[in-house]
Amino acid sequence: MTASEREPEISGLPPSYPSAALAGLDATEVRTAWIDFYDTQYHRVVRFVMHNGACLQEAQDAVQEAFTESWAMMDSQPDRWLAVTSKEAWIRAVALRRYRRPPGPRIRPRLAEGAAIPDLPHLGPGPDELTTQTQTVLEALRSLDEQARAVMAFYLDDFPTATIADTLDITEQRVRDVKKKARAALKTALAGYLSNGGRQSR
Amino acid sequence: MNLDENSYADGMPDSDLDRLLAAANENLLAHIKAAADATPTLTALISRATPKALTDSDGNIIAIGRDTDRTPAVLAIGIRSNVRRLTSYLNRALIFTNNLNPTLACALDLAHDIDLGLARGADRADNLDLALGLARGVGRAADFARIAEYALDRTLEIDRARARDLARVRGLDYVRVRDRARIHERIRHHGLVHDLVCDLVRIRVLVRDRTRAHDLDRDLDLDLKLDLARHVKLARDLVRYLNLALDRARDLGRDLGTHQVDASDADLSDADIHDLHVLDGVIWTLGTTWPPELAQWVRSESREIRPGVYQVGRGNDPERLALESA
Repeated sequence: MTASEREPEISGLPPSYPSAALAGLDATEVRTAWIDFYDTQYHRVVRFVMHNGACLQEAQDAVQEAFTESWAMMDSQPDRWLAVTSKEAWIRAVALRRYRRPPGPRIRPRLAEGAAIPDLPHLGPGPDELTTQTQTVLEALRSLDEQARAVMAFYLDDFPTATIADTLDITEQRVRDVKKKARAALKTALAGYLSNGGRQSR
Repeated sequence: MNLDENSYADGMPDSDLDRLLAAANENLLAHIKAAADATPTLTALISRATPKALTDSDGNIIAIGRDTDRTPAVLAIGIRSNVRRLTSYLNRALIFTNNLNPTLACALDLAHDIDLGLARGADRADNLDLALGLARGVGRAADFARIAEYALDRTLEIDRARARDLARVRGLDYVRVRDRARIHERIRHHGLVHDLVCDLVRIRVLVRDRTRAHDLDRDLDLDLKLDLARHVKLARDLVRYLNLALDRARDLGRDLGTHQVDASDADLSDADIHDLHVLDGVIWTLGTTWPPELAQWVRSESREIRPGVYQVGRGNDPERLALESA
């Protein structure tokens, strides 16, 4: 079993939540904090999963499943939920796992390398639509291998190397190596786009 | 107009890659916020046992402007942002307040059933089941009310910022007065929801404690049932108030959408814009300074309308044209 297939690790209880105090937790406060967490993270986690190769619909499905899992944990085992030290990294790891291994016997069909992203809107002037540049960057990210995509997705969400290493269960040096290699590959993939005046070459 | 043409025969510099990734990151987030509404999932999680289907709401799009030393163009863009946020949060408050009605009505029915069961000498276990159901129902209603309160909190902050921006742009007393009145109206709604949350939490604790103590041999307090009945009415009133506030926010949004924002030669570098919709139709020149992370997007999404003068986005958008011709 690889690290990405496992349940994300839950670190020991942080000092602010000593186990003795857990019995006295106010469920209302925990739930309110969870709702705040959901509000701030939902769209960003969707983006994270898209950086890992998902289309918008797949990303939304995976993120919904991840938040459902976290809600269930918060509701039934609030002490376990509170003990998760980096909830932002945890929810991304769960969403990524859900995207890669959807529940049930159904195996999500994988897209061929370099395939067009299926739900990209037509290019147009609307500011909510993806620019050619963004589509090109997403396709370049898709050309990376699975681990490199995950590392880059965490970096794009401003996670520190130590948290990425902890979440993906690899060493910090390995994270740095993967990042360096991924950036070199992205530069090659995107140089053609830029030297072509911002137009896709294919 | 797109990116500057460059040659990368010697390899792309790190700064160019970072710039590309950052711009794509922002654009993708804006796209997701516009296309993926987070509210239905949240509602579904909270109301798992509530079969009522939910309507959709506007996207939850965020843009906050600072209001010190800003140019009129920055202020106008800030007001547009705030109106979009206001509409979005009011929508959310409305959705969750709408959920309160059936949940509270269901809780009230359960309270009546408990009384009937007690009067008929029904089995204590049956009454406990009903009471547990009542506690769960009230708890769920409290969750709905709390999220509505959270959304209204945000509308209050946005309203204050919008009133300041409007006053600065137009400098008219009546604007300040009108907006102050609107703020006060929303504070009043907010107060109602806050009272509702407190009451529901109190009722939940009361029912839970009595259930734990198996203290259901006497009628539930008349006050409790009266409270629930009052809250059903209160939730109905709130829906009406929120619909009015939402209509006003939409009117203002439409009104602002038809006004041209001219940012020619303006310094917009400190504008904190996360919702790219607000730049729709903005006119600018090469003398306009954009926030670095948006400059590339603006250039790629603009067209030249006169020599040296550009316009962002939906110049030919049918919705916009319809609004302008209305």
